[in-house]
Amino acid sequence: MKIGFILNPVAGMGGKVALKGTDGLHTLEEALKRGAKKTSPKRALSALLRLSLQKEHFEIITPKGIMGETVLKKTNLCFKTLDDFVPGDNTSSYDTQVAVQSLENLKIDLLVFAGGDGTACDICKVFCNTIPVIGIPSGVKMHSSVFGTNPERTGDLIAAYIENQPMDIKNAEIMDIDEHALRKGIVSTSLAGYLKTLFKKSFSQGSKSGSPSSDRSSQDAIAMQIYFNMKKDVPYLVGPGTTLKPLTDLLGFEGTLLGFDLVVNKTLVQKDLMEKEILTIVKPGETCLVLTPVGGQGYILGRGNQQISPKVLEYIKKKNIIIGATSGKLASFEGRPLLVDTGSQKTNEYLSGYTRVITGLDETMVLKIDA
Amino acid sequence: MNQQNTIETRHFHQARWDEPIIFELSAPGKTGIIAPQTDPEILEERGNAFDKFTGKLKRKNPPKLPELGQMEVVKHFLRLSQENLGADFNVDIGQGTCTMKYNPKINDQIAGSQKVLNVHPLQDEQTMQGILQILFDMDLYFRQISGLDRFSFQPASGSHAILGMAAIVRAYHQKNHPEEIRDEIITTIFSHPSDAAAAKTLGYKIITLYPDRNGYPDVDALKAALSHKTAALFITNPEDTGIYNPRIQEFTALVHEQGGLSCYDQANANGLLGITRAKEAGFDICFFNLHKTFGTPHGCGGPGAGALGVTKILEPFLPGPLVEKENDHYVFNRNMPDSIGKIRHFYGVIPAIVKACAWIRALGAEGLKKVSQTAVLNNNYMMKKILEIPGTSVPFAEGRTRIEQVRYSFEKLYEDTGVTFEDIQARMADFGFHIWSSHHPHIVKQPFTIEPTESYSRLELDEYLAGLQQVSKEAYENPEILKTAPHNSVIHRPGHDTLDDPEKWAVTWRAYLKKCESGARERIR
Repeated sequence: MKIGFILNPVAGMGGKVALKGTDGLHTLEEALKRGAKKTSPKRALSALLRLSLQKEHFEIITPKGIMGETVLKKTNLCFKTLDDFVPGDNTSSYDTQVAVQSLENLKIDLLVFAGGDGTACDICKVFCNTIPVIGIPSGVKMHSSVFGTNPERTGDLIAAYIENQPMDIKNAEIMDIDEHALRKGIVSTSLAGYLKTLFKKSFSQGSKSGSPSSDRSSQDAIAMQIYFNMKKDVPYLVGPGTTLKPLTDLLGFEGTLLGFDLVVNKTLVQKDLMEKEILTIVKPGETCLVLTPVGGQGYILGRGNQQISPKVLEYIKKKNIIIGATSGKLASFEGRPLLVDTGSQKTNEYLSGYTRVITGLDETMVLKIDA
Repeated sequence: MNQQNTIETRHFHQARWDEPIIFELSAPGKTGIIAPQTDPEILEERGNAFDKFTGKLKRKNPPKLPELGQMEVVKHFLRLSQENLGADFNVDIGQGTCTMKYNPKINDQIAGSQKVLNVHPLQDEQTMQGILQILFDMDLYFRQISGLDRFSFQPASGSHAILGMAAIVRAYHQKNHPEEIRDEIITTIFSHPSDAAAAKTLGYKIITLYPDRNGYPDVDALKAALSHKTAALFITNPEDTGIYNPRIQEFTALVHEQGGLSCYDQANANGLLGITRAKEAGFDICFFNLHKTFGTPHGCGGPGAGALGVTKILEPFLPGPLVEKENDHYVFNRNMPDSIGKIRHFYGVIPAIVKACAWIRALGAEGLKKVSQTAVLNNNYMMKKILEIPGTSVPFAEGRTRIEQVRYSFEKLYEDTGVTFEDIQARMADFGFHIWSSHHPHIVKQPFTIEPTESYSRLELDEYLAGLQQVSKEAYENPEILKTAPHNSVIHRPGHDTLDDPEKWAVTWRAYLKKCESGARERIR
């Protein structure tokens, strides 16, 4: 088995010095000025040391120097370094992206990285592969669900994967967080995309880590509630988000990850509709829209679902906007309202007010939608 | 602990016995007690008692009970008890919302006296007038405490009392307007989660309200949720955040306008005794946990006790029988045609009711008020001191006072240092302390809930504070100590895998063996 390994040596440095993150050279300089020390190599080492029992069964490929080689030299694991890429003394997003592309060309079976959300986003931007990616949590904030719960558990999860133990490979939401805004106290996140990741309960960081009932069972219950309530001959536009995946599973098709699929009479009619196509559906009569808010932030419209334009929304009644979210996801908004940003102030105001969000079978929560 | 100068954490190390489950200690043929043979005369006259059991009453095979010597049993349970961090060891203020307080040992003796212990629930009521009098008097006490008109003590826990409330709500609506479909119960996210869960077991649809921007229950959200389908509001006040809803009368009135009932979960009543009452707040039904506010032990699922009270109009629906006084005698009134019936066998958990009665009588009305005042004072003291600890905060209704508990957050500490609440939880155990987070979902990030009841001295509160100060200091200076904690405690960090997966649950030894054999779960070594 070939494992690609990338270490972001500056990840996590902004944390202890209250910079909320370490994205960008300017922030790194500020972190160093504030006395920050490197933390990610130590955390990566903690994870890698858990792999020594399986060392006969894999080989690691990693960049030279501080982006991997230096840490791996402290282990007894077999590794090779990349020939076509040598990182400089001050690494940046660019280095991560180049290293990922080099590793991808070598047909690795698993990509392991040590970093935070910024590193995950960099990978997501260039990594077009379907092989799994797993993060050793080493950043300041980790909103994405591509990370293990801690370095040691991540190491154990990788070891289990090498041993071919049963586990899920699931889509992890990669969250892009605007650190600059965050430093001013504004949470601004958006969904950067998805990576396939290894998932084993209590090893992986979910959006609701430590919760007594798994997110998945709540999502199943939400799916059942929406499914049971589906009205005959009414078109349903089922939106993106992993929360709604069990619904598309129930309906018997693979939902489009960042698009809208049309369902009538519990049957898929068309996948991934464009605004123009949606308009032809909503104009003639009653149409239901099925949505879930973006985790961590709360946008139900205006983030990753621009197909549902103000023009489309003119034809959809408020009562026909069905919102599903687990109580854990709603908790991630920390009391903030749901948000809409459709690009039209008038539409935003129309959508504002209180709404019931489906959180389970016969369970709803009343939340406010703010424009 | 240094009592001379500043308060410090204790040097503590918990016993670890690596003790097997009792069934694994069993060996065929071992026995703890050899029962004496029946005297020949008795045998001759009465025969073998077991022969009288026939048919389905008789087991085909004897139960597979563990076989051990007496001393082995004693050692087994004492070892387990040493691995425990019980309420009588711990400064148990970290289990917020549970109202951990001193349970007077004298009350255990009263409840364990022969007069209570030897009463059979089926004996003639004339021969257990004392027990009936306690039930009768307790009803009167709780009328005074709540302002409502009648109480039943049948529920065996708070959640059980919530189930009772839901059953009364259902019976009331069916009786008064059977044509209406009222199948929705409204609660708030910071009310006790059992308000939603127990009501749902009776088939109600649950609507949960989020707080408003200021952290108070959102009255506009309530208005949005209310409709002709509303059966009732189930609400805790103060909520689990310690925030008292200043508009509670508006809430109950709005529910009444829609034809619903207002039901009060008084699990958080420890700061309210003699200060506010359910009646004045406009509630129709309420319940108290005797094992929280009224000084009886929490029994880990029993034997607790819930005092379930209603206004006059709802009295016919209470679970029965209720105790009445006729001339100088106390009698059970079993003629309650509209009653929801029994929700527990016989009359409730009598020993818990006896203990609570002794607790109330020892304190009197003034004493109960003093309990609440002291609990609130202790809470204010803790809140001021905890907010001085780096990394802590109190989200929602910031800057406003709390009643008897506070839901704090370590989010800043987490952001600054990467140390999570779970790390802190593990580290606090090193000092002999328990600390609990909060109910899921965690709306307050990195939460912890402190409820310092009236039982704890300032010295003890300071000792607990020293623990919190120490974890904060370590988080900023040497977080590895927290990341690798606990160091002195018996329980390390148990995975949640088996808790999340019903396939792996094993609540009996037989189920455990079955699931191990089928491969559903691994055997613990």
